[in-house]
Amino acid sequence: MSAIPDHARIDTRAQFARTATALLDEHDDTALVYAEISGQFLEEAARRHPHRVVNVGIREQLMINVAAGMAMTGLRPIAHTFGSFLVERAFEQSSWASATRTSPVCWWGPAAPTTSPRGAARTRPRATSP
Amino acid sequence: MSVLTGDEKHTAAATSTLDVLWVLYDRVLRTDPARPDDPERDRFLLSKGHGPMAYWAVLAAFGFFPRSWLQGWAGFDSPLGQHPDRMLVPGVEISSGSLGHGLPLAVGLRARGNPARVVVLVGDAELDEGSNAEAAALAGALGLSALTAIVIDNHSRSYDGPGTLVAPFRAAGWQVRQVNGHDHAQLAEALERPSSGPVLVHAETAAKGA
Repeated sequence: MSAIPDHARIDTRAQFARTATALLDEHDDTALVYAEISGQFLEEAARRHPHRVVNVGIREQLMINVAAGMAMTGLRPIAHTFGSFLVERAFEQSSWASATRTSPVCWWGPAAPTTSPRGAARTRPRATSP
Repeated sequence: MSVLTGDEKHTAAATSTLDVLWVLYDRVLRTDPARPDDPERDRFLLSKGHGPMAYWAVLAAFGFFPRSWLQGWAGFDSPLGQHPDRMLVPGVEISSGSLGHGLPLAVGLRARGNPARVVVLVGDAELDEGSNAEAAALAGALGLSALTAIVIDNHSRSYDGPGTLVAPFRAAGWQVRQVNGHDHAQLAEALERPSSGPVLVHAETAAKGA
């Protein structure tokens, strides 16, 4: 088996946090809304920008609409959680926000089930016989 | 409202909101129909967007769009649909129809602490949607000021126990104010009285079908 290349060893969430923090530092209209995930990487961002970084708790549907509401004030929010939660848990919120053009929300979700080493915990449960 | 015929199944949804909407635009909200996109304006979110006849009537009365629009409402070419569309009608802040979106959006509007007041109108049965509980919890935890939710309670819920409608808001730290939803003086007092945190105005109206 070939060795895992160095570029594949990057922790995607840590890198996201570094990039998001830089964007928050550089642009007054950038905001970040997240649902607990990656919180440990985002403490510095939250400390530096308390009015533009919001942790909504484990509430993905709320995350999307809070981001949409912040966008309605002129901010450009990034909504962040795991990709599966982002798309599946809050599908109506994200499609509604897009369809009604409530928000220019950027969604960023790492750790899709099949790519994360821990992805098995977040894949769909296997169908079982009754 | 009398000219807005064709959606009679939602007549109760409309009549239950008429008094609240009138008081809001007449006495509470800082809005200017000549400047509907003023960034300093108060924001009113109609989350309970089905049966918008009262909303259309009030917006027309206050000059947000020509009264001539009312005659052809819900027609194929009319900007006044059976659910509000923010891209088509001046003064409409959110497109609504699917329930449970308005309160979370309102929380997002206030999360930054900008000075404009945000008022959102929801229905009692709409509060079944779990997204509202999420929003209420966060608003209470953040102590968001200048955020008011009005719940029109026309007893539409299938599971309607005493106190159950407002309990999640109280538990989350909201101030709850009970009013008769058809009494303009009570509505105005409840909506105008200051608060340091989020406020829920529980407006009881005539029961659906009564």
